[in-house]
Amino acid sequence: MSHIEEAVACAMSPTADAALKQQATQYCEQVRASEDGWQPCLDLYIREPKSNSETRMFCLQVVEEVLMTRSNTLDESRLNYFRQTFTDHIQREYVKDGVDDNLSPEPAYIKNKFAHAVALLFRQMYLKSWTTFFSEMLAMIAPLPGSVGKSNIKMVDMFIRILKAIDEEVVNPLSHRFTTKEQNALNIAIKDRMREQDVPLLANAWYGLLNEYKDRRPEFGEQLLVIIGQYVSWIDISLIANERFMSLIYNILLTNPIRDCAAVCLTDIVKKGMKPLDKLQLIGFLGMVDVLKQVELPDDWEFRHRISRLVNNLGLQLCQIWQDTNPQANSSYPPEANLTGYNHISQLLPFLLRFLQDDDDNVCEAAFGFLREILNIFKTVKKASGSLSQDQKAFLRQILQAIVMKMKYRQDMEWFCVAIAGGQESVGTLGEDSIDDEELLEFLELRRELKRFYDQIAALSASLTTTFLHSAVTTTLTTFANEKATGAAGSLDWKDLELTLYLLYLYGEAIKGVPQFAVVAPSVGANGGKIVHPVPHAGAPLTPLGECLFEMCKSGVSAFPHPSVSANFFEIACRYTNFFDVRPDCIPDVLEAFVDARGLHHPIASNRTRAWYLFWRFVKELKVKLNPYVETVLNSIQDVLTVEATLPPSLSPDFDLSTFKDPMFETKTYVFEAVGLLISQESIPAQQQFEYLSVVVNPFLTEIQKSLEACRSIQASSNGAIGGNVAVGAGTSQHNDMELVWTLHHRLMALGSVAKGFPDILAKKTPGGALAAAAAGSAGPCGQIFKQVAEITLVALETLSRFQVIRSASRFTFGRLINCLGQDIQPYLPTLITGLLQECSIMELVEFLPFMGQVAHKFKTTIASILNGLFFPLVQKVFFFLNQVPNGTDEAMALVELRKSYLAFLMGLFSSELEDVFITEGNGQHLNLILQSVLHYAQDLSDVPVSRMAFGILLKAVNSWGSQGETPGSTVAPLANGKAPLANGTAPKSKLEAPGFYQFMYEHILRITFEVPMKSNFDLADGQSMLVLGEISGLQKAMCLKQGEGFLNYLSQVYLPSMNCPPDLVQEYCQALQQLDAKQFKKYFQSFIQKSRS
Amino acid sequence: MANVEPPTFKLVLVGDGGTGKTTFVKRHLTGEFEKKYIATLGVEVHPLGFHTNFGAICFNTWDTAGQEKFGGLRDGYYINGQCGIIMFDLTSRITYKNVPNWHRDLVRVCENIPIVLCGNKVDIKERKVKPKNIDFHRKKSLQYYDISAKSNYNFEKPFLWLARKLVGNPSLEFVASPALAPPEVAVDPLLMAEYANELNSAVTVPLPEEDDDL
Repeated sequence: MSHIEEAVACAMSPTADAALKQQATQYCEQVRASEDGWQPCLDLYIREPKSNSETRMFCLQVVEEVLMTRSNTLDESRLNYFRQTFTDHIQREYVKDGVDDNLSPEPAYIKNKFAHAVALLFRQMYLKSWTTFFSEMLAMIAPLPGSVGKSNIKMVDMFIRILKAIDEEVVNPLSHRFTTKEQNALNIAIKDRMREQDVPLLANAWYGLLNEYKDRRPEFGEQLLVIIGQYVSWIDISLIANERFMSLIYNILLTNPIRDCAAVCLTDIVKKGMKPLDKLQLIGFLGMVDVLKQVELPDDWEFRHRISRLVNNLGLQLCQIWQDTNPQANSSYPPEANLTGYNHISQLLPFLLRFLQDDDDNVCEAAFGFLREILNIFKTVKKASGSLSQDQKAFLRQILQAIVMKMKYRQDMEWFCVAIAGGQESVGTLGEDSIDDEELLEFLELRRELKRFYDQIAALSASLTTTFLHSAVTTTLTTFANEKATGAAGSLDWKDLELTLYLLYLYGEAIKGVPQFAVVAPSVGANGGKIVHPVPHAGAPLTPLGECLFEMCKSGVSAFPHPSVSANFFEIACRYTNFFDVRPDCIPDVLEAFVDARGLHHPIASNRTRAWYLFWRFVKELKVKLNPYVETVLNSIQDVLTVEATLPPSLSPDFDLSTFKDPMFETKTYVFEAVGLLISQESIPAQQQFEYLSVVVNPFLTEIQKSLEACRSIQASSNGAIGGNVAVGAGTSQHNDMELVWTLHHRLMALGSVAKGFPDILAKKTPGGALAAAAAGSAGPCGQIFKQVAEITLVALETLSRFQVIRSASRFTFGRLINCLGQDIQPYLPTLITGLLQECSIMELVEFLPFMGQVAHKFKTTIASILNGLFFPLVQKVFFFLNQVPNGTDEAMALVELRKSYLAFLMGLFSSELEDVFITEGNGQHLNLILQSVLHYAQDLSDVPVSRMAFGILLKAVNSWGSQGETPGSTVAPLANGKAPLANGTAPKSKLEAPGFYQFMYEHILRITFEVPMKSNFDLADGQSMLVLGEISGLQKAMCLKQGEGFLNYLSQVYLPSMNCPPDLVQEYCQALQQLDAKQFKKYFQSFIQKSRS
Repeated sequence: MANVEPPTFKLVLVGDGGTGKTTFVKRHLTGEFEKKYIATLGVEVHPLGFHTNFGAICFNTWDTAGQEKFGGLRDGYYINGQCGIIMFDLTSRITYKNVPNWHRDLVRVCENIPIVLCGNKVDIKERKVKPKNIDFHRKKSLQYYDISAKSNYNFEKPFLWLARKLVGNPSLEFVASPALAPPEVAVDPLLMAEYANELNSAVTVPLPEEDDDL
């Protein structure tokens, strides 16, 4: 036995020799594992004089283990031995001399551990042999002789721990036990026996102990309340919910320092799972509202929080009862139940309101569940009876008031520019991710939560919400305006104004449908009897929302000296741009704010950048309406129209310009685009546009011109990556070079962004309605400027094409210039494309191909000759990459993208009527190569959407060239009953022959239309694959249509028989192909494939 | 300044095997270096030091790694623990299910100590324990953090919370970062923000029936 003590001491010692320690630990393990190891441990545990606590702790571990996992090795006599030993120990340690107020000096962990061992033994013995467990325990609590009626405090201490351990081992659902069916059954049987035999005794004891210890030793009172709360979920509720017990608990709640635990215990009682009517009866009996009225709410938030939780849970229970007994929902309960339930709810509502108004956010949030459910009940009521009662409406108003007050920024809270809507709409702001002020983040989260309630209330009563908003906004803004006018000391601070404007913004989110700003009688339209809201004329009488917005613009509130106010002001102006159709006279108020230090010039960076973005939105929405102010606006923002491209003062060796980001500049491109939008309005005379544009663009051209000189001298070896081993600091030539290139990139992007604001002249309609010819020179005077932009971009590209950022800026700018210049851009394209392709990465090519697609789409056949020369080099570039073995995942992903871009590009050529480019003299010889690549992707089922695209291209090709005959120049006779595709006297669309296409069709296309769907990995149950099947059946129909009898003959006499297709099926198939329409044939083809595969 | 020992607290680190407890403590390089001097067999003790605006503080962190359930002296090591971290693995539901047991065992030995619950391996994309399902800490008033030991994500958070509780001052801050091993993986900041958001919104969702909100 003495070895155990030594071994434990050694194993726990921080200084013992490692080898010795290992030996000691192993010894402990052996004791634990041996069948009878518990015996010496039990003896050692109870030994007097006591061993050290570590050893006794270890002893209890060994005892626990045998009781828990090896109880089958314990026969009745051994169990009895345990029982006797435990009882003796309790007597000695916790009963003897328990007259005074002292507790046993055992450390708490030894007490807990021992209580746990007792609970484990109880579990083994209670049903069979130790049925008197509880009465024995209770007897040991009883007052000892000479203690003047006071219970035995030492044993009470232990008994509380035992009760907790029993709950953990037998009942508590939180303990995750690896229980077998038998163990579960044992637990249930124990609970049943306890209910029958001991729980009434226990409840009685709890009452006495709680009454005694609430003052004698309050922490025991707390523990008892916790235990009652734990046991109440499975015992007869009337043992607790009775006159005597409840008045004790209420008494504690109202007067005692341990009231927090009383509140928790009451919450547990309220939450007990019961049938609705029983629960209703319980709640009626508890009469909690009367007690709540007497509770004095202190400054201490924790108690308020507990009471708020109690109200919340009581409310949740009642709302659930209301829903369960709702006569409208076919409940089988008597209708009075529903009424009684609602009665209780309405008595509880003042408390809900009280807690929603609480200064402390935790207290307020604790009642949210009840609020959500009561609003749901209101929704049900309104749906059933059409409206809410006066009381309910009044309550709703109070709730609205309360939640709006909680939305207000707290005293001393800092404000950051975050977009009200959040999420995708956060351009220009720092974003919430970069805020580490936790208080603020919690507040923003709370606001979002409150907004959901605000929305719910607005859905319940739009008129209430509207009236509230109108009164809140006009009151605040009028006060503001009056004080401003009289110069009186401001009674409003930014938090009031911020809140008012925040509400005005939220209103648009909460009210269903398109916001209305002016009063117009809706009329029933002619088509379909739909209600139409006619567009109100300017100056029409305003709706309350319109009045609020008008007040906002005219009160001058945007000039309030706090960044939150102007920030919200802009958000609102952009949220409700249609308002300015009704009150165009308010536009200058907004524009003025935008262009001065409230907006684009704001001293705080995030306010400024957010304003840049919102300015663009405002301009985009109201373009035409801004006409009178264009010149003023441009003059006021000239200084914003510059770029700053500073790099970090020290660039590390792995710095790479091509992956560097400048979010501030990215946001600024919105301002440049807005400028383009403003200048290019049709109502501004062309010459005027030219002048405006020159003022914006010329400084850039001059600067670029100047910097290009310097750029020429940049070392040819530099390409945007620092490389080497040393960081590069500001002032060094390499750092200067980088900044030079970066600035050039920004300038090109800025010019491209201005161009982006200009309309697409190729899409412009002539007065006749046809697309304008977009002939050379149609770009007007501004076109002259854009040509200069194009030219200088090309020079920049030629000089620095090895810099990826310059290539990408050039591509961006040209992409925009196409719209501004139309046909005039064509002469520049060959130089551009050569420059872009010279040194391009996979990802650039992925982006470049859509650019070429855009060019093809815009110019259609007019670009044919330029494209003709570029086509094959481009394809070669693509093949070069596609043939590479990918180097890492990123590259593999890029290659997948490239495959898609390549196929989309080929497809685009067909759609843009440029398919002749494939078969011109220069390119025709490569047609087979290209078709083979398409064929390859069509058959590759590892990427089904790509396969579908490839089949789509084959279909286009057959439609274009499918009627060719075997020898050049011959055209196959069309089907006897089909229409001749080239008939009706129209000239053949294509005079060129597609070399080898006839053979390709018969040899490959036809083959794969059967082979691919027959593949075992072609999944007929998959939606994407079904789309592929659609393309394939379309392809067969197309070939049949183009080739006529020849195709059918080949199919029926050569191809299908070679596939061992039975003759009658061959015939059926050919008939179907010939006679069914596309949709029917698709169905037929699908079942044909299904049959053939099975 | 005199070379006085900083206030030192015994921190007990528990949780299922494989949840990353050892990786977690070993991120702290000074602790990893010094631990050699007091390494014990059954348990490794890492003195993890932090600098706060109230001076230095040290957590003697007892890592029960390797013998969570069946070896050494188990909860014997918890004796006199002053604070605790319970760790589970966000990619393994069972490790979360076992959290209440760890908690029960821990508070049986160390009554009323501040405890942080940590969901580790948030860097791994296949997250199995979703933010909205993590509510145990609310029932027992623990603090919860998503962490990623391998990327150092939120490494300091549990210690900061514990330090504030132990010192009893919510305005305590760490003034210098401890030397940490370089991250082995990176977490996706957008994904983390999303999780944080979900966790926040989970806070306002009532706890499920029966064991509603405590």
